[in-house]
Amino acid sequence: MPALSIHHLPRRIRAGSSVRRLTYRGAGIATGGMLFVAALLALPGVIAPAFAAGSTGAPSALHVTVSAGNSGSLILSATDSDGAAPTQPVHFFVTTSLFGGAKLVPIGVAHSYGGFALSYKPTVTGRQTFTAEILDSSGAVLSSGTSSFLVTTRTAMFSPSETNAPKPLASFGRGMVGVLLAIVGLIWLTLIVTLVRVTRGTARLAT
Amino acid sequence: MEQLHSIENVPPLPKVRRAAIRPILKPGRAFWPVVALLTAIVAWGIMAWTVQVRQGLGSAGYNDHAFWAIYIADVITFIGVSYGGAVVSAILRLTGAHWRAPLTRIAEATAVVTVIIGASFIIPHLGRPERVLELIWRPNLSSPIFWDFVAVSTYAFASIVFFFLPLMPDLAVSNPAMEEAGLTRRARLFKLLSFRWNGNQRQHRRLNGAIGLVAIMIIPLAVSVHSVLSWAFSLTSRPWWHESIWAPYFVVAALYSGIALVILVVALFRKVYGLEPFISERHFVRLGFILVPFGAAYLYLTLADFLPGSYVGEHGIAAVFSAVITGRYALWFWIFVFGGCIIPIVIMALPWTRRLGFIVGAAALVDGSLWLKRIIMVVAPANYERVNGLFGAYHFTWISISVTLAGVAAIPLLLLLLFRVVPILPVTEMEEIAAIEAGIISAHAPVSGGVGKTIAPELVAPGVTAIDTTANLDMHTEGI
Repeated sequence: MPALSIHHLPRRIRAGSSVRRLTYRGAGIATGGMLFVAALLALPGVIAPAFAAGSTGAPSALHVTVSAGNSGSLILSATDSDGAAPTQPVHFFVTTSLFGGAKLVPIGVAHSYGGFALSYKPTVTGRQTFTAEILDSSGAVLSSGTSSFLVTTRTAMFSPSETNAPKPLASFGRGMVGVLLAIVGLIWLTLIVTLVRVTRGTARLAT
Repeated sequence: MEQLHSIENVPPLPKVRRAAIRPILKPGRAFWPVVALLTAIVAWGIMAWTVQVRQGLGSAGYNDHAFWAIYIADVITFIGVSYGGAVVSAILRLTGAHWRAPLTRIAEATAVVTVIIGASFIIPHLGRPERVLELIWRPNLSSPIFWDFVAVSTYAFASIVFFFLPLMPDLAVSNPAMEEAGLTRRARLFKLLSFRWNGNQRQHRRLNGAIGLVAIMIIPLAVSVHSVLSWAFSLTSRPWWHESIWAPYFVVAALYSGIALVILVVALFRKVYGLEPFISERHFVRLGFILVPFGAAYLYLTLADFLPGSYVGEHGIAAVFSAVITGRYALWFWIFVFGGCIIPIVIMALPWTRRLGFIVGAAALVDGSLWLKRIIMVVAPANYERVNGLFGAYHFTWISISVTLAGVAAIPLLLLLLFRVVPILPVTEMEEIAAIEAGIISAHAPVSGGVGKTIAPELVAPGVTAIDTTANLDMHTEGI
C-alpha cells in the first residue's frame, strides 16, 4: 500500500468485517443522506439513552466503550487491551446499511484535549456497531476495535431549536391556518360573486 | 362639456376593430407553420417528460446534491413573469394611464398563459405526477408547498377573471364581424360570453366597478403569491435559502421579469399582426421606464442579500456566497448582474439607446438573466453539503432542457391560439379613451376597463400626446 497522509483517510481501503472503499464524497453523501433521513424520522424531545449491558463485539487491540451523555448523546471512548487510555487520536466510525450494504461512516475523531472521548447523537435506534481506530501518520491502522450496542433513543442530528427557545409563532398554530384559509375562501368568493354579478347584471341591464 | 356625448354613444374606430380581429379572420400565411413548429417543441418537451417519468428525476440531472433544480426555477420564472402582465395592467388601470389601452389585452393574456404554464411545471418538479393530487386529497397544512398551491391557484383564477371582464364588451362589438365572416361558431361563442352587452351606462358602471375591484385585488394577490413561493425556500434551514429578504426579493424579481416579458410579447405581436399604428415606440419607452426602477431595486436587494452574509462569514452562507460570487457559479452570477440589471438600466438611461430594438434586447436580457439567477438561487444552496462543506454537482440534461424549452415555446403558442379566438386589442377601451382625448365624451366617463372616474389625460402623461393618434385620426376621418 502506498504511503498516505492522514488527509487521504477517506480514500483508502478500510479493513473491517468487510472491505469497503469509502471515497470522500461517498462518505459525505452517506452521512448527509443519513442525517436527512434521520432528521425526518426523529422524534421530538430528547430522552436519555439506555443501552444494553456490555458489548457483544469482538474487541481487537482497542476496546470501545459507550456511556450516556447529555441531551441524548452517547460518549464514545476507547481503551487498549490493558484498559489504558490511548495516546493518539482515535477515529470513530458507525456501521450503517442505510445506503445499501454495510458501510463504515466516520463520525468523528477523539483527541487528547477531549479526553479521547467523542460525543455522538445516534439518529436511529437498534443495534449499532461502532469502530475505533488509531492511525499512524501515513494513515495505516495501528489498532482498532469494534463493538455493538443497543441504542434505544434517537434524536434529530440537526435541531434548529436545540436550546428549546420558544418559537414566537407557535402559539398561533391551527388558528392561523383557519384564518388563512378563511381569507383565501373570501378571495375566491369575492371573485366568483363579482363574476356572476357582472355577467348576470350585464344580461339583465341590457334592456 | 354639456354638449359631450354619453358613454353609450362613443363613436367606433373601424381601424382598431379591424386590427383587433385580424388574427381571428386573417392570421397570415405563417400562422399555421409557426403554430406547428411551436407545437412540435411543446410535444418534444412532453415526450422528454414522459422519459423522465419512466427513468426518474435523475435523468433530468437531479441527485442527492441537487434535489431541487431547474424545474422549480422554471416554476418561479413562469409564475413570476405572469405577475408583471397582471400588475402592470392593474396599476395602469388604477392610475388611469390612457396609454395603457392597446397593451392591456396582451399583458393580461400573457399573465393568464404564463401562470398556467408555470403552475404546470410543478408536475415535472414533483417527479411523480400522481402525487400532485395529494395536494388536494392529503394536504399538509404546515407545508409551504400546500400554500403555494393555494396561492397560485387563487392568483390564476383572479388573473383569468381580470382577463375576461374587459373582454366582454369587445366580444359584443366584434360579434357582427364574426357573423359577417361566416364564423358562426365563434359568433355564437362571442354572443354567449358577452352576456348581451350593449354598452349602456348601467352596464358600464357595473363592469367598471368589477374591473376596479379585481385590479385592486390582483396586486396584493400577486405580492402574496410570490412571497409564499419564496417561503418554500426561506422556511428551509439551508444557507442562503433561509433569508428574510427573499420574499420582497422574489416579488421585485417577478415584477421586473414580468414587465420585460410584456415588452417582448407586445413587440412580437405588434410585428406579427401589424399593430404599429396603435402600439408605438413610445409605449416601449414607457414600459422601459417602468422596468428601470424594478431593475435598480433588484440590484439593491441583491447587494442587501449578499453583503451581510459575506461580511459575517458564517460557515455555510460564506461557502455558498463564495461559490456564487467568485467560485463555480460566478460566471453565471456576473452575467446576471450585468446582463440582467446594469445593461438594461444603461440602455434606458441613454437617450440614443432608448429605441425599440435596444429596449426589446434589454427585456430579453432581463428575462434570460433572471432565469439564470433563479437557477443559481436554487442550485447553489441545494448543492451545498452541510456535513462536509463541499459542493455536489448539477448538470442540465436534454430532458430538463427540452421540458424547459417546451414551457418557453408554450407562451407564444398559447397566445397565438388565444388571439385566434378573442380580439387582440381592447377595442371598446381604446374607442372610449380616444373619444375622451378627442373631447367627444367627458374625461370622467366610466371608461371600460378603467375604474370609474378616469384621470384627465394631461395629468396622466405630462407632455405626451394621446396614446392612439391613428385612432383619433381614424375617428375624425370617419366624419364623427
